[in-house]
Amino acid sequence: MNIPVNFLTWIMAFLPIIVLIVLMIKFHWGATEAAPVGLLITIFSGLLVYKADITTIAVESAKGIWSALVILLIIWTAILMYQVGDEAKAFIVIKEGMSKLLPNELLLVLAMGWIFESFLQGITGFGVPVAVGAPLLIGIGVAPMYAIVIPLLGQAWGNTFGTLGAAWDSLTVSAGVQAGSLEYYRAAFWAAVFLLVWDFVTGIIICWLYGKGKAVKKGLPAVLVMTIIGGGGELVLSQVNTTLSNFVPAVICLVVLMLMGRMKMYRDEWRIEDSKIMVRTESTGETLDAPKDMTLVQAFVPYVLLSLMTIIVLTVAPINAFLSKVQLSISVPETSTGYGFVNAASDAFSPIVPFTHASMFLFLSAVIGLAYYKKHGWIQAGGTKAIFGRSITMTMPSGMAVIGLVIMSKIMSGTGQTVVLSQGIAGVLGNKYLILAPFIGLLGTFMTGSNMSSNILFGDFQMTTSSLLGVNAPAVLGAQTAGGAIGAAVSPSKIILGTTTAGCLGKEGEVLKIMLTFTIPATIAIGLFLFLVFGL
Amino acid sequence: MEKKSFWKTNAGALTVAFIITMIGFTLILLGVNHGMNGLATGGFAAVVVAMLISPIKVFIIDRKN
Repeated sequence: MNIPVNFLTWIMAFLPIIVLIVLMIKFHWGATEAAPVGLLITIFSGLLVYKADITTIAVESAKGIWSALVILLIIWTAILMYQVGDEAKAFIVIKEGMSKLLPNELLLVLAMGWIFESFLQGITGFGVPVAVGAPLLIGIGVAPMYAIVIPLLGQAWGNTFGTLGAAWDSLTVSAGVQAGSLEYYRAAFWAAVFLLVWDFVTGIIICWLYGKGKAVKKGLPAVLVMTIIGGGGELVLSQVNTTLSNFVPAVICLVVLMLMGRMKMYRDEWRIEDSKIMVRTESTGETLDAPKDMTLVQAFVPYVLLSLMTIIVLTVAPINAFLSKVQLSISVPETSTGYGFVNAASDAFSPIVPFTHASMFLFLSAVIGLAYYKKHGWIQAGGTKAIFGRSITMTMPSGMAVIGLVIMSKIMSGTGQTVVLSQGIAGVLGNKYLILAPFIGLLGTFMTGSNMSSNILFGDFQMTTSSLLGVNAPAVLGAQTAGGAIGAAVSPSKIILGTTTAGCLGKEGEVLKIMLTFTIPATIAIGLFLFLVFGL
Repeated sequence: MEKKSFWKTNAGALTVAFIITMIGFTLILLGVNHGMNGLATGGFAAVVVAMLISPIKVFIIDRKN
């Protein structure tokens, strides 16, 4: 690769990201409108500054559309599942039932917005916790904006070791770290340490959002216990088995939190009346509408099915191997830019395994849930048609935004803009680059929508740069993936999942603004720690 | 009040954009895998046009009305 890393190439690579953020935050554009502008800048930059030809750009666009389809399948099926529950009025039952089970409203919000999302991240990932969590939180009375913010925060810490360690594996492969080596476990240690702290911070932020200092005081014991089990458990298990290091603690957290609801400090009804995240409405009208004979367990049927199917398919190896036989992929040719930046050909680019894909579990859960609700008479005649109609109307607007964002990231990656972006930062800053190392991870997830993709994109770069600078490479890799996990809370693709299922599409900028105030300081804090410990 | 046709709503316009994108995607793949660069370029142009439908609708067409 002979791409010159200078101010022009660097600023042109950074421009689409800056424009995207400014349009969404400053001018309140929705992602559907902002993404095409960022995309156009990326295309022009690719053609004129990075000397890519139109074929390279077209191939990267096709890769982007294909990769976006994987995300869209999840959005579509998650919305279908939400619409099924909504039509059957299951969310009213969930609201009433969960309020009785966890009378402490703060604990209820922590359970539905943090612990359940951690559990879903442990088994599925790919934005499912956000898409599923947002309507559930609305169901218990959380304002739509915060019903998006809380799951985005809640799922983030599980991104690296969640989904059975997919993002972690991609980091070690990309960085060339041999599984089981000393370096491997040291990197896992640092990643888990940073994520443990972020897990704790997440719990505290959710309490703070609910009711500032008073809620933090009330929620602190629960947050501490959940962090010790969740983040702490992940830290311990990361030194034994990285594949299960998030999943096992997340399941234990779910059980322990429900038990905590029976403890003296949380078993009585408690809430902050003027909590800014809650919508206080008289529930008399809704209660009348709730199906009288539907129990809480019955209301949760699609979610129980989702959890069971995912756990069985992902953990029972013979079933997984059998269902993984069918794969769908596209074939792409080799392309190169005028600067000699080569993208390898692939006969099976980014294969989708439909029968083990999260969208399949969501779809089956939704359809079986629909049949179950219908059998019990909770979905009336014409309800099925209405469910599918509303699902289509809700899903299409988010589709184009996701496609635009993913194409943008693919063109940036395929024309060398992403590499220039990170090399420029490292080249200018020297050892101080450590401060921005986790931010690079966040940037990767922001652009691609996935901790895994961020690690694929920047894993090798972080390894090479830390080796060149003579700093602790495992700690830098840990910071990269921790930054990437935290970045899962600001990725526009994930935010759209929430705004779509929460029914406030177009408000992505407002959500992003809130999320950046938490995530940027977190990555800088990790970076400062790295610099102070390893860079001085 | 008269009910607005689905195709005239924002969701309708974006459904059209999505269909055009998928056609463009197919043309790109056909073009690059069969050495027909013109077809791939046409597909790419279709994708770009589809991406611009939403901003044009929101900031130009809807503002005029």
